[in-house]
Amino acid sequence: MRRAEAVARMTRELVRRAIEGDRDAFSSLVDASVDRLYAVATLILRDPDRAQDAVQEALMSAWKDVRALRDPDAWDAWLHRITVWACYRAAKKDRRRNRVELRVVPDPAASRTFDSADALADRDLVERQLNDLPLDHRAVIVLRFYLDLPLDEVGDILDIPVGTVKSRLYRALASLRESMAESPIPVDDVKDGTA
Amino acid sequence: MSDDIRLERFFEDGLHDIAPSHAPDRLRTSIISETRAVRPRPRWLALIKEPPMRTNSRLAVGSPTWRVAVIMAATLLAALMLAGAAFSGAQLLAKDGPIIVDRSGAGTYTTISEAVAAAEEGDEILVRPGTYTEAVEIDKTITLRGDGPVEDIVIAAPEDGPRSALAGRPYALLLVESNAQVSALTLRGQPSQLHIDGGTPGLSGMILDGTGDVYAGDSSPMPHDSVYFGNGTKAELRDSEVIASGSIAIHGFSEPVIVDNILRDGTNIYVKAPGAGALITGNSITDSASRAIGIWGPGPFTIRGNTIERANGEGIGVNSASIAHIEGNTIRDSQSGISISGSDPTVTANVITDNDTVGIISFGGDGVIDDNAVSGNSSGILISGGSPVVSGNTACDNGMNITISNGATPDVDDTNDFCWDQTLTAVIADYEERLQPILQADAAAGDDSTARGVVYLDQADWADELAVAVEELDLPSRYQAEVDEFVTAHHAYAESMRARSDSPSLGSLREASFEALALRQETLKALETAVAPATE
Repeated sequence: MRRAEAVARMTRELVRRAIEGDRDAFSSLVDASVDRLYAVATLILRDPDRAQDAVQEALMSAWKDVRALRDPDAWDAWLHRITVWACYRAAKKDRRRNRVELRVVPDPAASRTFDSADALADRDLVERQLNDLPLDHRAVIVLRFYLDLPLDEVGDILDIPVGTVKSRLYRALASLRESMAESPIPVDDVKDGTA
Repeated sequence: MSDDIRLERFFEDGLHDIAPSHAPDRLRTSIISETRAVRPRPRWLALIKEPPMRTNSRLAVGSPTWRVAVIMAATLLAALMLAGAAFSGAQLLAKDGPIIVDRSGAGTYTTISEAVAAAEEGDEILVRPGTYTEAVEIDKTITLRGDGPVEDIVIAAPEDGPRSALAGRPYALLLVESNAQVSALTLRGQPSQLHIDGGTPGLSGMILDGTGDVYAGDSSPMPHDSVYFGNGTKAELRDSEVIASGSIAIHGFSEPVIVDNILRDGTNIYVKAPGAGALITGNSITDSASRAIGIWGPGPFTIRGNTIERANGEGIGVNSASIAHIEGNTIRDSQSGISISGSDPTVTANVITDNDTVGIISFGGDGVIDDNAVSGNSSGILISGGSPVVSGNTACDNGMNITISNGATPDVDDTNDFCWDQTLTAVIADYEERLQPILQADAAAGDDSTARGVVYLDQADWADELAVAVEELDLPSRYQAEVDEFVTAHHAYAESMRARSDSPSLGSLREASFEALALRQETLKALETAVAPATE
């Protein structure tokens, strides 16, 4: 807890200095967030190249408009918002170009050394189901289950009411549940519920 | 562990597995080096540019007040510039005497194509009565006008005529990147009469006759496009008749204005490609062979003040995340009224009566449905999934006035009039109809059923859904106590289901289910008794 408070205090100070135009402070903020934002963008867009573009756009926009930030404690939420919006724009741009959405398939050779066959199958199942979700549902799922954000914060980031967050989650999970019916969760996970 | 929680955990773990753990180094260095090259915007500009964001109900980013003020000022400036440009344009279009086209040889030319070839920018061509079998192409800013009764001045598409690059089919009239004004002519051809390839032309007082080439499928395919708006045109078609044709079809990135026309005997309006938008207003559409107006793609679309009768499909269909404003339309005696699928349109002040199936149906949208009058349909307003705002509507004398299903969480306020006594009676009837098969299945399944867990979860969802539906009804306050009891009982049921679902014992699940079903039946009876006096 003490470490989390220290990190929050340091982030607040870095944001305050970035608002004053301190490039080094902003570089530190980039260092602290770029891995997380890249993971979010990759999960939403399902394409590492487009994810890089989206994160670059988001962080450049964060630097240019950093003085619009009134509350330094909202830094992370704001970064998540502009990253998600950059993803939306990237996806829209691709639709305009009539590009077929890329599907990222995990490289089995890269992970075989440390993953079991079951784990590989799980990864593949999650990949496929994530690919099948509409973009806005994917964004809600990633914010809620990858970043583990509470529903009201997901709503703030996406600029939608909590009710809409819930309904999108509900629909996404319903769709996932339906897919699971065709590709069930591995038996090991199921046993403990009904024994 | 319940199915939902297991699914969420499985997915949570899966997301962490597939997410990359590190961003590429070049991304990090590229961002840092680019920030070295630019400076942050001044605070006032950043506040205007960045959309406002609240966290914990406090304004954390941007300034709504500044943004609104700047947007209004920019809109005003743009309007002034547009007015100035229009005035200058009108001055440039001054012209000399008209060119006359007369088949008999009494004019300047005997064919329209010759006259168009000879015309210069700004010239006017008058066409005298007769049938001109030719494919007329205009790629300049001229005026082409019929000089006589419109039905007697016909341009007929030659069957073996040239095909437009836009649509790949013969045509009577093709406008290419033209701002021409065309009026008082009949265009005849099957399947296609008019192709508009870019530009901002205007057509009025026309008759477009497809000679019976209608298409009755769900979505009219391209070969049946009678009028083809394409390649980003902003053409205007007004005060015209389009008869016995396939579709007025709006293709890629076009934004036409379709106003005050009469469409009959099969014709409809259909958006065929993403990126297109349209203003569709004041039209009368009768006996369309499929849906009368079908749109998909982001738009934006404005569909206002149209009258649609006897559509052999939906009156208006909105699909695929369209941004649409649907206002003041009348839809009657059609297969259905307004259908919204995966979009968030504003559906306002429409009158939707006596259609075969549903008046307004929203599949998964989060738009606004307000101030509509919906009556005499098999079903009035049906919200299937999504969270639309439903406000100020009157839905009475439908088979079911309001239905909320499929996990929908609409924002329904007390300004709606759903003729609550009719609606509640119908809700209970529907509920019991759905309850009976489950009760019967319970009796038949016995202790050996292994599918119970799934059924229980469905029931829990269903109970929540019904509780929401009942809560949203506009009930008089004297019945509030009964309704509260009803809703509380359902929540208690749902809670007990969730608690028991975590239990490892299949037997205890079954027991919980029977208890809950009995409870539901009791509360339903209590509610029915409470409602009965009001329906007398």
